[in-house]
Amino acid sequence: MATDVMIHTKDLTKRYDNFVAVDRISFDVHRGEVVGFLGPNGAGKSTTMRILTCFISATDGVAKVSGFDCFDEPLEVRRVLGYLPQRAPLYPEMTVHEYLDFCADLRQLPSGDSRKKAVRRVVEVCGLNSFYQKEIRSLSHGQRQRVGLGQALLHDPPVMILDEPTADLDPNEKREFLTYLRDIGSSRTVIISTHNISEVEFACSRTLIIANREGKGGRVVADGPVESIRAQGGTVRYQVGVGAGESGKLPGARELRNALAELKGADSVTEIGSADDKSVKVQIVGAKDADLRAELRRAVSDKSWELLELRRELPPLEDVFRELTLAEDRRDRLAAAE
Amino acid sequence: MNSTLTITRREFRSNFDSPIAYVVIALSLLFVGWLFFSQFWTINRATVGPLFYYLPWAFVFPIIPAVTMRLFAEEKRTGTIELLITMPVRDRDVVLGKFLATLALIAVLLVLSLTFPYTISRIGNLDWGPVWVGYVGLLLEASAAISIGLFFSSLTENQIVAFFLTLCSLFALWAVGFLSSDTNGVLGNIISFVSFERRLSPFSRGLFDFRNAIYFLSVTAFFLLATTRSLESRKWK
Repeated sequence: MATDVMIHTKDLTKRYDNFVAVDRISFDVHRGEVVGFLGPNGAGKSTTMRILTCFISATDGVAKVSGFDCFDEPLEVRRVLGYLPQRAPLYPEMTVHEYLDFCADLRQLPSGDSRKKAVRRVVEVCGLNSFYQKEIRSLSHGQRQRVGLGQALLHDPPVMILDEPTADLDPNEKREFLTYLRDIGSSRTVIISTHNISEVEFACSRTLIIANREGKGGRVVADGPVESIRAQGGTVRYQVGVGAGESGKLPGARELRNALAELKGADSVTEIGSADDKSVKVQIVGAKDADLRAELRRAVSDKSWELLELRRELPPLEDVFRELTLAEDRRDRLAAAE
Repeated sequence: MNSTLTITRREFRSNFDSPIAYVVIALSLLFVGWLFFSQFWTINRATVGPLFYYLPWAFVFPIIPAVTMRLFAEEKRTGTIELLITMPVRDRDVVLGKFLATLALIAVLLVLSLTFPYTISRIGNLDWGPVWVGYVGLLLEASAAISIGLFFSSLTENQIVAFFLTLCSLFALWAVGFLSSDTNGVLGNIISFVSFERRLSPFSRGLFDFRNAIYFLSVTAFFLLATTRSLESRKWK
């Protein structure tokens, strides 16, 4: 294993009696990568994370963190890991201060200035100052989530595994946390599981999508930088903005839509809001292997309108995610029907 | 060992963050004290024998089931078990930490109960030697009972289920002793062997018997090991 490979899985499989939760997942994550771990519910994201944190064991395959085997060297793995499970693991009767102190003791952080510094850093990064001396039972969901994050960051771990860390944060807290994650990600390895695709686009240098086949476990269906995954979709989007032009009359949205929908290869045409009253905008979805821009230009000039904007772009990650994960299901349903 | 003591400290403190420990200890001591002193005036002798009869009953119901039921069940229910297990600590450190914290709690209760023999010693002439031996026996029995409670708590997320499983097991191990006098042969021997009541009885008379001490320690070790295995079983399920 190359030295900068911090997380390595090979044919990782987890079976429960008659149910396969994770099915031969293989991937490597390098130092300096922030990986967004995406997948529908039940695809095996949490199971994979729990195997990597040594909470459960794989039925088959290899899982290594920082070169340590998750099965044979669990203590070494846990030392280099910061982990936030889906449910923030907190003791409600403790104050935030006591809780972080307890976690620092379990992590065997040496007492003294270095520990104080580590706690101060976490308090600042996670915004715990205003409720640092309060009992955890009296905190809101968002505040609790931040305390949970605090314990995961306390020992400044080189590898972090965060299972839906932003679930209970408000939009400002989310943005602050993701910015922090992106900043520290250049020198660390982070896997972050989330359902919020915009978070992945914002903070992650790489995306890993897993999806499950019917009755079988999750497997990797896409892996790479966000842009390259967006390119894996079978469609492209055209943003078309039209002005009155020689016709002297701004077309109605419906009129424009109808005119462009007649084009061969335009799968769907949708009105989108325009920023002013001097143009009308629509979005067209077409096949990736065709380029409709020349036809679109021609169709607009045939109507004596003026083409103000024409952009051909890859579909958003959300659409590709839906396409990839649904396609998996559909493919298997069809195979089963045969 | 540091991790074990960290867990012990947190666990011991958490006993006093909820009213359960206070209520159970206070009510048990009041009830045992009432039974003890009502007998004391009848016997009219400076002896603490009844204390070593009533306290083990109080251990069976409700003290040990009540203080052990939440140990793992609550952590499983709230998800904090995932924190403990994914920290750089061994499963056996977690089990041992919780066990020691509960044993310390019972030790506090036993120290408080020393007010009974102390009161007797002020009234009459009490021989403290057998009293100390009796207390060692109680601590050994409590240790075995706690390990059983810990084991049942590790099997479930439901504290009530853990409470009743522990209660039934401890009741069986205690009450089976009363059958041994009517049962002969192999069955009688088995009953005498496993009975907590039979094993504790010499201690309460001031006789320190290593075989009985080893029995309680063996039960403790067995159930602590079983609890560790039960905790590890999450990996294979």
